[in-house]
Amino acid sequence: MSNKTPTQLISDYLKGDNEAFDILIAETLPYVYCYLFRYVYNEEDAQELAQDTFVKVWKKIKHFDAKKNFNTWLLTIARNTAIDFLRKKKEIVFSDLVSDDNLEQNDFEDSLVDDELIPSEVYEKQETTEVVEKSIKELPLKYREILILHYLEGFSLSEVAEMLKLPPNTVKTRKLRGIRLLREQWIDTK
Amino acid sequence: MPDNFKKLFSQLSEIHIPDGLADKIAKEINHRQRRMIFIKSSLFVFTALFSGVLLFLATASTRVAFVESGFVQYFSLLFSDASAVFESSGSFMYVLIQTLPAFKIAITTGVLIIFLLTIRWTLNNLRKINLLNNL
Repeated sequence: MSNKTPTQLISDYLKGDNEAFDILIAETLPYVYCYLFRYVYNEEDAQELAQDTFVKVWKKIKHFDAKKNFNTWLLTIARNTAIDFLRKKKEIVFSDLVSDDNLEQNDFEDSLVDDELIPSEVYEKQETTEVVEKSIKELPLKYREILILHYLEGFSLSEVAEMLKLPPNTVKTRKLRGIRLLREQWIDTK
Repeated sequence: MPDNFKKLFSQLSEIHIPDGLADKIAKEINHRQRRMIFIKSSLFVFTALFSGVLLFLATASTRVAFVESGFVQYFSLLFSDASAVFESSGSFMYVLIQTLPAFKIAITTGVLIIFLLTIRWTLNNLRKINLLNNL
């Protein structure tokens, strides 16, 4: 492990130190791979996407703004790569990412969702992680990506909104709807 | 037991990263980097050669233009008949500027700049190739 931050490694690479980019790959790959894996749930596809993501990072590295968060920038590239891939495979259509019309509930109902409390039914199961993983996998992509970025990768909702280029209120609404859908799935599996 | 979603998500099973994936990606990028440098270098060498030939032709043409326009003859008056030149320095300067092959000088200067830039880019690329080979 290097003691340098990603921004320092990029700076070193741009000054001609090629090894700095290899270190950057080694240090950020676990983060990118886990994110991509939960996007496609397929090991081969996740590997291919991780490679494509880093190739894009390499191509765009001169344009990286050192004042911005590298991880946000990196995952934005990873997400765009994954979306292009899924579109080519015709597994998603544009409306999967932008439209919220297929849900009948309104914002008021969403606002009643408590994102802190977990149904006790989930804990009663011994295979908690398996249940959660399965439920997340079955969530529509537009909800899944927000829950992963927020809860798993630790980004704030405003950072998620910036990454997904969505209004913060939409991100909040999708997060709450995602939670509601997860709960419904957990109750169904019970 | 976790009491919120963050804790619940943190309990998710760790995803195993395939062995050698980081090396595979690094090799792929290295390969693309070499290919890109090779293409760029070829392009720069070709441009340098082409602009070198153009520079030679433009320089020869400009030299002829200096002679044909009468600039050289007028300019030589500065050394052969300086006193006459200083007596009518205003009209001498006017004639000198009028006979200056400005268009050809501009073309030659442009080609010279392109030639020097391509030489510089080619040398930079050679330095990058050298760095990659030393890795």
